[in-house]
Amino acid sequence: MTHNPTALSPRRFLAVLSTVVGVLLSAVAGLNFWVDPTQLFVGKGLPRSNCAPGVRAHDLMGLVSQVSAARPSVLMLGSSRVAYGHDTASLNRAFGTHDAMLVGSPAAGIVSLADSLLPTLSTRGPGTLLIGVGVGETWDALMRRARGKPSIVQVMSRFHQGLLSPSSTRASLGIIFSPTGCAAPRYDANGNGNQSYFQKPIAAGGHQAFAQASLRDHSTLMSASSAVEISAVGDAFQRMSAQQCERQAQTIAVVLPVHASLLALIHTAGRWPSVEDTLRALAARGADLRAQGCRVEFWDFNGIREETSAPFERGPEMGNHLFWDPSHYRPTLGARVIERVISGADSRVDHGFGVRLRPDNVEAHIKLLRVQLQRYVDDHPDEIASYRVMLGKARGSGERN
Amino acid sequence: LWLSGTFNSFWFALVFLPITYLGYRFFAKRDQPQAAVLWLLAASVLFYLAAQSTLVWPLLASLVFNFACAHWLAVTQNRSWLLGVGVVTNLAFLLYFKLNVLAACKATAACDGGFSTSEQILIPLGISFFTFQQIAFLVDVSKDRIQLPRIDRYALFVMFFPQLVIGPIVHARNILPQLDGARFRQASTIDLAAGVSLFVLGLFKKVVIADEAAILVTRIFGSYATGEVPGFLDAWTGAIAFQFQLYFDFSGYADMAVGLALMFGLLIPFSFDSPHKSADRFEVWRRWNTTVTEFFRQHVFKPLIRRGVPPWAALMLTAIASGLWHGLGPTFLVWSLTMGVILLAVHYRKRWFLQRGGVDQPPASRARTAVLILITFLVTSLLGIMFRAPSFDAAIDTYAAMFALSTLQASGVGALTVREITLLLICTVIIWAAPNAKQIFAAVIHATAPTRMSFALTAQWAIFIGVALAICCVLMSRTSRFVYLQF
Repeated sequence: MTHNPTALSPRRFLAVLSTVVGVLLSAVAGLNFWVDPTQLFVGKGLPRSNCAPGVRAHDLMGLVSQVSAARPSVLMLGSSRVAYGHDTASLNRAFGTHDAMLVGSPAAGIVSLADSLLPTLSTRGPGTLLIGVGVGETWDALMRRARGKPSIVQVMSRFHQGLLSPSSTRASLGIIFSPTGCAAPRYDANGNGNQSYFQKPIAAGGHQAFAQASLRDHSTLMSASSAVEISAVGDAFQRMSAQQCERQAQTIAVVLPVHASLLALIHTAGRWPSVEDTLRALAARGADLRAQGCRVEFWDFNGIREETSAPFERGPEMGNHLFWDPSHYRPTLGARVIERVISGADSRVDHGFGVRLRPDNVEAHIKLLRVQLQRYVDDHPDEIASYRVMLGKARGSGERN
Repeated sequence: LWLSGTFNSFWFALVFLPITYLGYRFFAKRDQPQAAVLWLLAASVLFYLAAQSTLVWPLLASLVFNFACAHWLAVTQNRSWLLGVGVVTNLAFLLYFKLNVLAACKATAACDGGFSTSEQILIPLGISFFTFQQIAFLVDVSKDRIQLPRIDRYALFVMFFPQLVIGPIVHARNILPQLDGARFRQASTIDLAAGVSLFVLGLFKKVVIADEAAILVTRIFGSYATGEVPGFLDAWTGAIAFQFQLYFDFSGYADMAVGLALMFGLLIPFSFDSPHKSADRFEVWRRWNTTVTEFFRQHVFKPLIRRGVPPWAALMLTAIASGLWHGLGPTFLVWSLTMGVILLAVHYRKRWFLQRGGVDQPPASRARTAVLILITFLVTSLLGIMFRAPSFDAAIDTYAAMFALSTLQASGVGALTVREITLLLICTVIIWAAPNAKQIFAAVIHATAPTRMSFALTAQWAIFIGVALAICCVLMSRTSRFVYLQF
């Protein structure tokens, strides 16, 4: 090596390098440990506002920090459907509370959220936990995650995530620098969704656009195998419910409504049997949990009814007065879902919106859904034909990615 | 998996590597190089087992077969016959696993022989590299370029963890003598400092740049999963971003490999020499993954020429072999054929200039060179689509979008964010305005004359590397695999 007058000895060079790394990492880890936005270390942490810090909506750790900061009495947990289809005002109205909270993560499945939230739920869980999933939720993610205790590597990884990850750091800084600042309002004064929350607004285009949007949101469903998934879904619910059960708190799991066109697409894709199996599994799991003394309810809001089959408008924005797009409903419908759950109407099968699933009514509910679907398929031959074309194309090219 | 065959993990950087280095240094400082060799071999075996315990037998079988074959080659008279058997067996072995991948992909609908983003590695890690490395070894033995080593040294040559999984392809005649060299025995702190610094620069390229670019690339190419086709701008952005991702991913790994080897007092070659500064595709070919390119030149192209195959046919066959080495799917085949045709075009264009005026190129102005570099990069990006697309149909759809101005306003994946634009600009500056790792570290590795940008053991470099490592440690929480791990 050529002599350089400003050169350090190799040992000194490594000492400076190590010091820089040590100081920077200690600063980041110290900050995250002190603020503890994910409640991993169950420290005293900083006093937090009951308001979301300025973190991104799909940032899991950020969402966890929001929950641990707010300590809501009612928590509704779910994916983008919850984020775009509900608002805290209607939740508070329905439950008679003032601190209800929504945690909807467009980029993460329900089980990713649940995994991240479990440590927080165990110590600071809500009185009522509402879990909202869609018919096309990412079952494979459920399958991967709904398994036993985490390994030492997973535990270490979680600590690493809590201390040194960008999301934890963003959440910590958000809590420190904007203790009273909230994220941008999700809805405007008229209750309309803030379109910026949609990562990809759907262009006009009738059923073609519907199908493409649905395929985008449900590509996993279209390619997934069902046999093992069903039990995994049930296991995932059971884990979340069990934690609530230990705390004598209530859990309400809701299979959220989707537009009839999406149900038809799932049917056309040949995936309908797995939906039926899922409903059966949920009904059975619910009964098991209730037999153990848990306050658990499972609801299904799917079906082809007036609410879910209103046609979509052709215009600059896809959707109708109840749906943003085939898989995302608007808060107006979200409020009806919550009202129905709160009303606790008897679960006998009728033509009402939403059915409380139990072993003694699930088969009748499934039978009714089949009849409704078949009628829809018969009445919309062009739509179904276009789905077949798109499914063929998606299976021929995209699913392999 | 706690190691996963990659260097960009918390466990590798902060647990495996320090322990391995301390063990090596312990033996080296006590003048026990043989113990150091065995220690590094044990660490390499552990590295491989931790990443892929179920598919370790192909590596061991290959290693034993080639060592036995080399032993036989060293004593037999009929070397060409035995060499042929050895090479064919190695290629059959590689082909078997490549076909297995193809079958598994089709069975699980995970891919169609095209580019796969699956986390599941369906092939023995590093098989493409350790197979070629051992073929080169057999050739060296058959030509008496090297004496047969002890099996432990041979095993370390094949399994040395910095280069086991994604190369570079090293030659035994270059590596094995180093195990008796002063550099390996000294375990010098200078090599440690330089090696750590080079490793961190590679890690930064992977964790901070390539992984960020991967998000954009996946967003665009992932839209195929929904049956959508990207618009004009999406397609071009995706093609260019993929080149950036591939370059920073692969060259980052290569830099890390060189840095790791340097920490252990061993010199292995850099695999990248600023390929995107090339003014024609031949130059890209020579400067991209240089050790693999050199392998194809020495062991495919030259033998074909020696057997009287016309140069154009030899070039095409070499290009096809290169494509199939990556994968057996139709996209790789079309990619290699197209590349072969382009290389031929460049070759005949140069010959035409030579015949006209005695020089292979007209006088190059800076502007002309810049235009040629730009055109070459765009051609490389166009070829890359065939490499990246999940299927042949998807690639054709992308090409259609790239050349259909009617889709100019259409964007299937949404506008670029400020973060994505910034990333693309940073990539551009680093690729075309900055020296590469080989140039930066030449002074400290090979004792050449330093330049203004040369790495040196100064406080400024220590702080720069320290900050880079700290950023990597934070961002490593989103650990991802390397693109070339699947090959």
